[in-house]
Amino acid sequence: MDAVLTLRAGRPLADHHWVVADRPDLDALIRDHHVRLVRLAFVCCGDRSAAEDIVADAYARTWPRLAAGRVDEPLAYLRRAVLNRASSWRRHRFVVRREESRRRVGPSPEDAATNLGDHDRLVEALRRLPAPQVQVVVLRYLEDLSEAETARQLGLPLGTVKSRAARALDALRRELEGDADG
Amino acid sequence: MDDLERDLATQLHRRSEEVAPGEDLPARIRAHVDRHQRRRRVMQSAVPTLCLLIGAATFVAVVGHGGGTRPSPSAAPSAGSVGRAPSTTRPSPAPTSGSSNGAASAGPAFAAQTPAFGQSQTTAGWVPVDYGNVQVSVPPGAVIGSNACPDPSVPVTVHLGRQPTGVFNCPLEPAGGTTVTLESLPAGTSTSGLPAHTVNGIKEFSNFGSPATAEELVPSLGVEVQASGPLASPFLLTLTRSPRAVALAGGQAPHLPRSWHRVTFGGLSVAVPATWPVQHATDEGASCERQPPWEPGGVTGAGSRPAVILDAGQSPLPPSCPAPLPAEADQPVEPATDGLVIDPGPIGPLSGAISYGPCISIAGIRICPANDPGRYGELILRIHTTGGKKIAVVIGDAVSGETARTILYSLRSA
Repeated sequence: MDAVLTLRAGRPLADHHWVVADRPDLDALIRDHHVRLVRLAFVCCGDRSAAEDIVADAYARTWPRLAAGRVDEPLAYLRRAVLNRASSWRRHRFVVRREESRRRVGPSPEDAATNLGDHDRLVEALRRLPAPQVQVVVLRYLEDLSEAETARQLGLPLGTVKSRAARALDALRRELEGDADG
Repeated sequence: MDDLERDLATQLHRRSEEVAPGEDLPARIRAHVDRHQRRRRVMQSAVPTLCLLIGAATFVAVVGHGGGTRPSPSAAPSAGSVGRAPSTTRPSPAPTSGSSNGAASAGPAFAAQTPAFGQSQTTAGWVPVDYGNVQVSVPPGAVIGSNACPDPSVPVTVHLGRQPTGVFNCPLEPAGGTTVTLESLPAGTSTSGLPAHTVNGIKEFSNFGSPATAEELVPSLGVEVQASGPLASPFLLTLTRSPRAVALAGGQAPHLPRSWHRVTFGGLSVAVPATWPVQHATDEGASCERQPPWEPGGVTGAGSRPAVILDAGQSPLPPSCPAPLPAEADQPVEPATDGLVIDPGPIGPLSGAISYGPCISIAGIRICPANDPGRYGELILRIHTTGGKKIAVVIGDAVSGETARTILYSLRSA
């Protein structure tokens, strides 16, 4: 997949005409990346079936551009699509939960079931952070990207990535300290 | 990398590795992509057809009504009486003329002028549904869709926001019912070359369509509307500005009715109708097991009466408590109600992944409206006080946006 946009050596380029060596193969793209993308989505949203849907939708919506050979780094492009869709999912869930809270006293059966056996406080605290901070954190600490790579992936200035990461870590630290105090 | 970062990386990796996608997932993803591609091709091939249809409809409108591009409400198959006056006949708010309301120094980018108040020509009995800056109306029995596949026995299913989940195994077009999706239109979306027409004074661009399926882009309201099914056409004629859009539109400050009185709480003073009872609430004890009642009874939700709710709670709202969406059910469409919440708590209504702006300034107060289009079109405001504190104000408006706009412009530091 690294050769998606490799220019053929020796072929002259006309203005505005890119020569695409190899168009990506959809099955290969899915086979090679779907597991890590589902895990990325899961960490962001905390729901496995939602994570699978998010990834499927990310593939579907990015495929026209990928198939046209207009993407330099398919994995990076897919990853960004997954993060964006995971953020949309969080926003949608926020609205849904607000509606649920108006109609319900006490936890839903789903809440109760999902809360059982959850000991990864940091991950749970992470999901309470604003979406832009979550995106930076998961790229830095799950995908193990450098700050510069994260900035490039998200299309952000390096300073923004650093500040978002710092704010996220501060918030997580405060959350842990709060738990310890409580 | 410090200890926290190491712990975070460890927990993230461990947590993610708990997820082992099924062996059939690649095939399901492939099928989903293929279905999406087929649908794209259908939509693209339908654009010329829609152009012809719109051209014909415009011709009929011009010949039949003596000019104008507004589709006739009588085109709706089930249209009986008209429920509300058309927007062009409603008066604009009176100028402030030295009242104590003050005026906004800057308005949101999407509307440079005060719009006419009012709503679309809606079939009697249809219920308005707000989504961000847009309002549509749907017939009784319509539901707000969950992430499950649409129920074909339901006459109209409305999806608010793009549905990232629940898309795997649903049919392309559910049989029987009408499906409507309202989602945000990304800023800068090109409408070049798309056929334009005007509905209720709002310019729309048809992205694709067929006799039973249409997608309308409404850049002025930042929304994209998709509708398919037998009621798609009459539904599209109901599109208009939401109370939120009217409240936030630029222009002159509205006149403050003499019958209103002021309520002071959390460093803010705001005028509200005297008939609204003032209630005190607290969100203490909030947790994943118990949601805080920062909108007790749903201040702008179903069944609530107009009220002013002053929330003195200090506990953070845990918006990210796990709640798998696939388990939720469709919810009936219910009309919004008027109301106001003031919550100076640390998080409250401001929690969650909400983006804000563009901010406006009223009487020296910086006010940033939430951009996330919530259900019932609530106007969620983040107010920056002079002391650097952020206060949440939620305004519900069931009718035209005039009430919300008057409340908004009455905000003062206390």
